[in-house]
Amino acid sequence: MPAKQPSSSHQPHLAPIPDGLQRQLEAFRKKLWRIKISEALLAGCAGLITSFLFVFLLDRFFETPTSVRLIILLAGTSLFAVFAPYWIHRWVYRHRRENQLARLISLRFPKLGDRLLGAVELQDQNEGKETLSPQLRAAAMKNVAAEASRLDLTAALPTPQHRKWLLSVITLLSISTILIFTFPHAGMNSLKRWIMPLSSTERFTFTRLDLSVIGTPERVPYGEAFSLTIPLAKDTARKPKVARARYGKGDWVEAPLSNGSYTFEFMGQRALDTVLIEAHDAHHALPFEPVMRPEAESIQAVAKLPQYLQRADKNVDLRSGYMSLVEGSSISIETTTTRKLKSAHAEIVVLPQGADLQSPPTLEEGQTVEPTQQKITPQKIGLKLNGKTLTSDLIPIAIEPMMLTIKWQDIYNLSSANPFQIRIEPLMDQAPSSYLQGIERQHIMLAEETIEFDVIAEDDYGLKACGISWDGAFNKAMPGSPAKGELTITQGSPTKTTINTPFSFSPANLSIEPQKISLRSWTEDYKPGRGRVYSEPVTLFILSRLEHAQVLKNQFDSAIGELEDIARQEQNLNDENLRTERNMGKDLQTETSRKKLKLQQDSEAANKERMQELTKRMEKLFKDAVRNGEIEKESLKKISNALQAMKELSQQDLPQIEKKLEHAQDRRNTNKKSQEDLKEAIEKQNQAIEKMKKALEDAKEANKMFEAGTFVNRLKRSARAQDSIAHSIIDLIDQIIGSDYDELDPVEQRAIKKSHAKQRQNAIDLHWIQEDLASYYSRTQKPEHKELYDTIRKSMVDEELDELAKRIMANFSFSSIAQSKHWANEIRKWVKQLDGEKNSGGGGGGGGGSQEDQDFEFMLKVMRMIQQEQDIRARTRALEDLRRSLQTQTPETKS
Amino acid sequence: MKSIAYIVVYTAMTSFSCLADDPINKKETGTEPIEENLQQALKQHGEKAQSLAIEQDELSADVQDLIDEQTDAEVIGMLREIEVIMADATDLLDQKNTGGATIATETEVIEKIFEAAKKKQQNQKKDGG
Repeated sequence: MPAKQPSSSHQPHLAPIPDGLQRQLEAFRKKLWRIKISEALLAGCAGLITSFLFVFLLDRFFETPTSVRLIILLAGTSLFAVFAPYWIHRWVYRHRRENQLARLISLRFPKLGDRLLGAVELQDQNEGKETLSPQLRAAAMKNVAAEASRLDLTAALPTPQHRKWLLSVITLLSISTILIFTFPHAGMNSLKRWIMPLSSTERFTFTRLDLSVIGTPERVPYGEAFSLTIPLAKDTARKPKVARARYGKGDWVEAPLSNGSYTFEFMGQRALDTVLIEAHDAHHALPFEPVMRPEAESIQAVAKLPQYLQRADKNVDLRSGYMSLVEGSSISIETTTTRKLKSAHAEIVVLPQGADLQSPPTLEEGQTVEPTQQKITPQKIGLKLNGKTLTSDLIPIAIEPMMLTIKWQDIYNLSSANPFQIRIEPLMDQAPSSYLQGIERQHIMLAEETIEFDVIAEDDYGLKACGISWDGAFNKAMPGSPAKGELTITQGSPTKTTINTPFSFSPANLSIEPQKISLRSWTEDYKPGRGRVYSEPVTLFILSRLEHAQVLKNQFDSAIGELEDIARQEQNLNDENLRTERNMGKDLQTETSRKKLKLQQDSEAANKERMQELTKRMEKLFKDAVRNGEIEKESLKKISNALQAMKELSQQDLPQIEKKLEHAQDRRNTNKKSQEDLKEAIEKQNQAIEKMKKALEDAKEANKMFEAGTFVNRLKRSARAQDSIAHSIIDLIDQIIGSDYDELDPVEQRAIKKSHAKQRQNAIDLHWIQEDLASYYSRTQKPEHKELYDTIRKSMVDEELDELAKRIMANFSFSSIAQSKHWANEIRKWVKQLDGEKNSGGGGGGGGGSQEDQDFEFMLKVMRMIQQEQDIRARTRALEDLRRSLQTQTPETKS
Repeated sequence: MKSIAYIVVYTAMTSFSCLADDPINKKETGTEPIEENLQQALKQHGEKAQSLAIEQDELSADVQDLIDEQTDAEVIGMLREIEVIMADATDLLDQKNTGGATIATETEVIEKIFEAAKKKQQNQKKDGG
């Protein structure tokens, strides 16, 4: 059984070892402890310094990761924290007692060690008297002490390492101190990073790059080559001439130092990756993400049109890069991009007039504008940014074209591929236009007639109103003033750009007397100060019935001339057909004969078409003549007869001749059959010529009666007018006789004025009758007209009637009545003079059945009635148009 | 708003002033009562309608003359019918009605006259045949 070990070296022993030995062991222990504690501490220090140096060293080559630095620090401190306690425990704690020391000594001096261990154990041996001899024990102890005293126990100490550790510590410390003093930034930085591995202390490099402008990740344009410029930091210790970088696992790209920075050119990239940058000891790994550039998702302008147009703001899509807007407008551009924006810039350039639309000048950075005659100065436009949206300030549209350039940069510092350019073309607010449609430039009509047409007005922005206006002029001297008026047909609106409205114009409804009217449509837009724009005029000849009859007469003359020409042509064709029959009749089936017949057939067809055309004209003429009412029944009957003949000729006779001539050339015909066809054609042609002659005769007869009747009617009307004047004065005679005009009652004054005007009008009419008679005679050379003209001239009716008008005005009532009656009788005599001629001039139309006359008269009356009813209806419609135009204006008035 | 109303009324006035053949450039003084001018314009429209009524009545008299000249009972009957319709048209115009009803009545008159003329021709052919 092993001896019980003392719990402590300081416990009193039963028989302590000799003092000398005791001291010797104590000294041994102290020395052992000192050495081993020193070793532990120095090793701990060496570990710490080594770990620092390790971090310093690693940091010089790359960015030592936090974890590595932590491990290094833990490893370094572990010598202190783990090794030192262990060492102390091993060598101090476990070598604190004499027996422990004896065992250690026995390792070097085994014999002494055993004996020394025995002596130590004897100290506390507690045995009985019969088994233990204190003297022997003391002697043994002495003996051991004597033996130990002869030896140097320090030789039994384990090999001391503390000097080596000290040397190591001093060396490491010296190195660290030197490094810190030599590279204070690097040293301190490493120290900091070593002590606080988890802190975000940036690694110190001698080459320092300024990465403050690089994002995390840094966004680059997707798929586009890009350049990366990395400047050296201001506090960089070194400035390597070349740096290199690579995108992901791509090739290294080298960049020389230029202007204090390195610019790397990379190919287009599509994937998120890391860019490694190396410049001497500066090594960085930066995340890069290729993203699409910020493009315009929508771009539109809110256009404020000039106030006078009274139009609401409108949105204009500007993706086309072009917009045109009326001058005086202003626009605000609103753009939405695909990404949030960081900054934007807009400027506007006023372009010279007529600048090329296809190649607007671009004002990109660094680009100089081509020298032009005018100086182009960009003007900055204010922009408001709100996330993805940017809104410009109001841009006024002047009279010159402009180019607006907008650039933007998103939150990743990416700009759009190209600056967005918008060409703004100012438009002039064009004047509106107006025209009358569905009416000829010149139109002849009676005052009772109604003409229908469309009033059309157009404008680029909005029509305020449109209407018509008329301005009359008398064709001959007339009392009173010519008609002048206007009418608003439709009110427009700021958004109404076209007005197309039918309108019925009735001179009678508008109290327009016979005269020449210049009719225009007008319109106006909202532009201040522009006023009305008028259409080209349409001239309306509003005729009295007599004037209308005269016009019809002229048209009838022309129609007769045309009929004569057709008849002549038909006669020529007939002659030619006879010649053909005579010369080629024996062989009409030859090619020459056929050609000849074909030629004749074509000519016949042409003549037929002329006749059809003339028949249409004649029909219209007849209708107008019926409408006129002043043309006598006999004349109309003759016209009707001629018209009937012409209808038959154009619809039956001439087509039959043409057909026969066509048959005559038929190849399937025998020569005999062709001869028969030609013969029949000639026979029918003869009949047609006879019919034409008869029609011509009727037409000429009608014309004769027409012209005579026209003068007769005009003179009759003039005589009636004189009678009427006389009677109106007779009606007033009791009130007015013997008084001065000025003394008369206003009612009577008005009546006298009216008679005076009537007298003047009649004088003018008679003057024109003379003029017309003279012209008519010079054209027809008919003696009866010359005779009448001379009679009227001799009578000096012009002067006399003028004098009479003055008398009426001066209230010479009695003489006025007498003179009026005198001239009424005189004019009737002239009527008889001409009417006799008219009645005797015919002679061709006699023998017509009375039933036929009655029927014709009935039809004539019915036709007139229909025309009159149509006139009434048209005028009713015109009145309704007027009423409606008034009604459309009334509600606005009330509002 | 008031000024717009004035402009519109002026336009209306000038529109109807033409019925009286007023000069084109006659300017609104602004002192004349608006309602009065409108009433005047409407009055003139009425006068013109009534003048048409007189013309319609005169035409009706012509129909009566035509009836007197006729011997064919059928035609006479038709002309009498026309006379009645014409009287309606006259009444409507006299009431200053120029609207669709009046125009329809006038159209009926025209159609009936055509029919009467046709009937007359047919009867003549029968008699002649």
